[in-house]
Amino acid sequence: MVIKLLMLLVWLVLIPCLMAVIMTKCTGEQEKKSIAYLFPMGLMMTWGIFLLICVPFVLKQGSFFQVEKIVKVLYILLALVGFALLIVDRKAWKTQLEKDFGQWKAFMTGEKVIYLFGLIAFLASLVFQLYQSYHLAYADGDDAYYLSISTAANLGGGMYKVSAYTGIATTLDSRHGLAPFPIWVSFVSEVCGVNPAVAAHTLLPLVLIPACYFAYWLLGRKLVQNKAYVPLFLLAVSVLQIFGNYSIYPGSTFLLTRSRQGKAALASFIIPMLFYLLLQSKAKLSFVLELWIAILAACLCTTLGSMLGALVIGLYGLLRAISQKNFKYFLTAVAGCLPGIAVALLYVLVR
Amino acid sequence: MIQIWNSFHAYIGNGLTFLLYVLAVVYLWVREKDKEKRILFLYLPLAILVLYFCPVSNLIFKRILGDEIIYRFLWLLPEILTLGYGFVCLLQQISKPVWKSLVALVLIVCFACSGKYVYANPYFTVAENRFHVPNTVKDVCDAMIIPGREVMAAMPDEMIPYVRQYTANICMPYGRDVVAGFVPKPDLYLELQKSEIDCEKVANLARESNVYYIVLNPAKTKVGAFQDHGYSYVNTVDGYELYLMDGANLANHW
Repeated sequence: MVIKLLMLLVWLVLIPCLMAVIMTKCTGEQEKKSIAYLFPMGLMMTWGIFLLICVPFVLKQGSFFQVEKIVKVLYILLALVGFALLIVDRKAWKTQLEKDFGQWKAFMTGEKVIYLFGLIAFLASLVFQLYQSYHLAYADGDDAYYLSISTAANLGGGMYKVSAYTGIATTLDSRHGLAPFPIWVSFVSEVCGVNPAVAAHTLLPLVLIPACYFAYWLLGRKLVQNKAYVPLFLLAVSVLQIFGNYSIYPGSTFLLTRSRQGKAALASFIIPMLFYLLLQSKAKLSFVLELWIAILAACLCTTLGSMLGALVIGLYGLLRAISQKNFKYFLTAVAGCLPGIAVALLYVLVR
Repeated sequence: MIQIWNSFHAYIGNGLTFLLYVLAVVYLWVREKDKEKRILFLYLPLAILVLYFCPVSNLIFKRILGDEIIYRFLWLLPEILTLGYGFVCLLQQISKPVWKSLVALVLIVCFACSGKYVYANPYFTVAENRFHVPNTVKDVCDAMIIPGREVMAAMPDEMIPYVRQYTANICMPYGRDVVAGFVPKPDLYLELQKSEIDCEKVANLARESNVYYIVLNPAKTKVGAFQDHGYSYVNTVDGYELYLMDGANLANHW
């Protein structure tokens, strides 16, 4: 199990983080040279790339094992590029690291109690959630569909070619195939060397739940004036997630009950990441690229991702353009929505 | 309009967390001066709610998303973000440490009490294994699996949702779509639902569907014997009886 966890860390944390170094270079923003940005952005990059590779194979009825090989090579190549950039840019990274450490030291002398209490309480709540995701099983009917797609792809390499419920051959389910999150679960199970059920139920929550909090960490860093209060902000978010089961519909319920499903990732990770990206919107190409990555990742999660992603980006862009009396913001937002619009059109075509 | 309100009401549950959210929005409306933050916390949610409650746009979303998942539109409300941000903004305004701690504690308790503890959800059970499927399902499937080969099995109701999560080696003549009522129930499924199993009828229907294994719940009583109708008893796993179609070439699995 230790080796499997190690593989999980390599493929779902280390490689994404290295890949995201490329994005920090593209944006050129010093504050993004941090693990808080690298991990969630890197994870979204891996999802976006997976979508771009997988969907054509699904539509052409190709094999999952072909997708797996291509994706593995691409991930490794991009991680190597990221690593090279990290070496080249090491001085800037060191400066940022020292700055972050300096800030941490300032908290430890200034608002030590607030910072430490928030941090310890938040980390304890996170560990509790991770433990519960391992210890408790949540019976969700939708797993019978999504996870069966993963096990089928893992067994014979076929994607969306058999009925998920029965295993009997059927026509290509191209509608669900446009959001191949279950195939990504197959990929995780392959690289970790475990059954897709273990990957989905036991391993994935260990990455996806923290990914959600990384998104909120980024938001906290961006929004909260006194940075010593960021752990308290995360604690509040965590409590709201744990006690967020006020109905079966909100994102909080999805995060802790169905962590392994694309819908949960969309509601609790991608949408907060979109809020973070939109908060720092600017009429720059690198910003459009970040939006593309986020919306492609949303499209991998669920077919709804393209529409919700495009809607929130478009609405925010419009409101920002009105507020700043600068139409550029709206045009940038529209440009950022393009991949989502393309996937939505594809959806209409294959429906 | 009533339908829209009902779906919104179902989303917010008891409404207490949403009430806190509204209070946080009002607080930030007064306090927050930063233009970008005002867009995120005030104008964007307002626009989303207007679109959600406007009958025309709601109808369009329903046509695209479908009636059942229209609620997901409300995921775009930054509810948790606004509450978390409002919480720290309020704390930052308080200078005395004692008051700050007290307000923090009260608000955290309010957050907890307004919602429901997610792990109290009755669908949570202690995981029996790393697969998070019941051990009985795992054991029964393990008994039937032949590596590299798919086998058709008629499973009891309680196992159906889990079988193909655990292994794609087992195929079924009916799946969770039948259990959930998404598709009409086939005769074989209906026969196996009865408390008294008519072995002849079940065996004939199973053979028609090319079912190799019939897995029988221990609570069922049998009328007749499967052995007389082309299915032989092979094993009992965790109380479930396994019957294999005569002549099934399963490479001397048993």
